[in-house]
Amino acid sequence: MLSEQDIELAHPEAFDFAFGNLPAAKRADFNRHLVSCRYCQRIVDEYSEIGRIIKNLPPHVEPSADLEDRTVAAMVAALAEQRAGTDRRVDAEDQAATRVYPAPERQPSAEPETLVRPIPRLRPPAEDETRTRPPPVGHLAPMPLSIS
Amino acid sequence: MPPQYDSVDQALTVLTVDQALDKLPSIYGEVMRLVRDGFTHSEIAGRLGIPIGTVKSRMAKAAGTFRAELASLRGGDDAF
Repeated sequence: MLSEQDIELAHPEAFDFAFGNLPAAKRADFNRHLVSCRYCQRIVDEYSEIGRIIKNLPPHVEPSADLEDRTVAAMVAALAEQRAGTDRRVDAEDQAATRVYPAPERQPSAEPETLVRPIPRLRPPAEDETRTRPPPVGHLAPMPLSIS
Repeated sequence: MPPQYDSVDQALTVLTVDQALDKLPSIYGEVMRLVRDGFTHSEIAGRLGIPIGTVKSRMAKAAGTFRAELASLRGGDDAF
């Protein structure tokens, strides 16, 4: 942070140099001066980055006096055009919705459209096919014996 | 034609300083706008009718404000 004394003792060209506004014809002389002047060195060290940023700031543009009137007029015109376009579209949609179209005639087909096959009736199973006989209780089946 | 910026960081830096310029008291803001537009200290003094010493002190005050805004943007550490 520079003191007021630092700022007072620095040459004004140091500010022009730091902010990039020193004319090219004076730069060589100032560079020679800068080597030996610590006050100017401090200014350059302190403000050169800010100087570069300031040079990148967008230029201030003052809007013309009739900008507001022209903007409002353009908006009104755009809205009117948009509304007219909407009305035209609605009219076309209404006409399309209320138009009567003739129903297409139906051509008789040469073959029957559906063929219904009768479902075969289920045959009840024969009695022998379903009967199972449980083994008698307490009776063991004979085991095969093998004697070598 | 607006200037082109190389990075988001650069654009943000310029935006921060631009907003700080708008917030400056008018006596500092008018000096820095003339600096931005390329005027030298003697030309600014002549345009505003103020001494060169006053131009220097206003430049320093405004630049200090910009530095503080940028330090705040960069998380509080003064990287300058």
